Amino acid sequence: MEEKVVLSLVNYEKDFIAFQKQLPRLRVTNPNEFVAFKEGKLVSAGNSIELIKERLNSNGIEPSGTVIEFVSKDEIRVIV
Amino acid sequence: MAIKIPLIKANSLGYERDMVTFSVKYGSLPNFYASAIVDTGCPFCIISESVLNKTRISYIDKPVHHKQTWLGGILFELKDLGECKLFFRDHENKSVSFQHPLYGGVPISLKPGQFFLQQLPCFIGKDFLDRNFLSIIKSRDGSSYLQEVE
Repeated sequence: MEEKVVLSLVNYEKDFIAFQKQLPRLRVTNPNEFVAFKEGKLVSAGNSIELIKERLNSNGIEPSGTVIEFVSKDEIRVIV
Repeated sequence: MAIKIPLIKANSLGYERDMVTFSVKYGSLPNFYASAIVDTGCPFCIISESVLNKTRISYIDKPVHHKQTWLGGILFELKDLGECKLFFRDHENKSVSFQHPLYGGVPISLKPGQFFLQQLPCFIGKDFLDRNFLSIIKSRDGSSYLQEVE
């Protein structure tokens, strides 16, 4: 079970890095939308997480194991 | 051997942060996956509402741990998710797991158009680092780790 978790973590991390690399372009193509990344590629985009979840589920992709991020049109800077 | 968990340099909320990906086992639900800012200034480990919305965790009815918590000018309630099992990948691609309390960060001062709220990250906080004797280590080659202090 733990080997499966590590493999999923490696894949999740790759997808998160792929999202990060594509973020400047996504601000143009998918402003103020949620996007989902799987296997390094954009697999879904839409106005709500619920919509993305529906689409992922219908494609047999588990949302809880998928990188789903919001893309704001303009970069927001916050000091936390 | 001391625990050593690689960190990622990633952009979150407009700045480069030390981030980590991890997996959470919550009850009988399938593991969920998330990325988080490792933040020594954050007292708790917080799962953002957008990540909770990916899962089937019904967090709305959970008890409120702290009612008035501010983050970046936004008022939050911290929902007590209880002790969960967190999994990380170490530098040798082996699984390391920890039992730790998690809180759901739910904004309560929502205003239309506050896109900032949609992209709030998760946080791995000071409580986790303290309990597990982990420190952020910066290597000269530019890499960063969460490393167990002997």
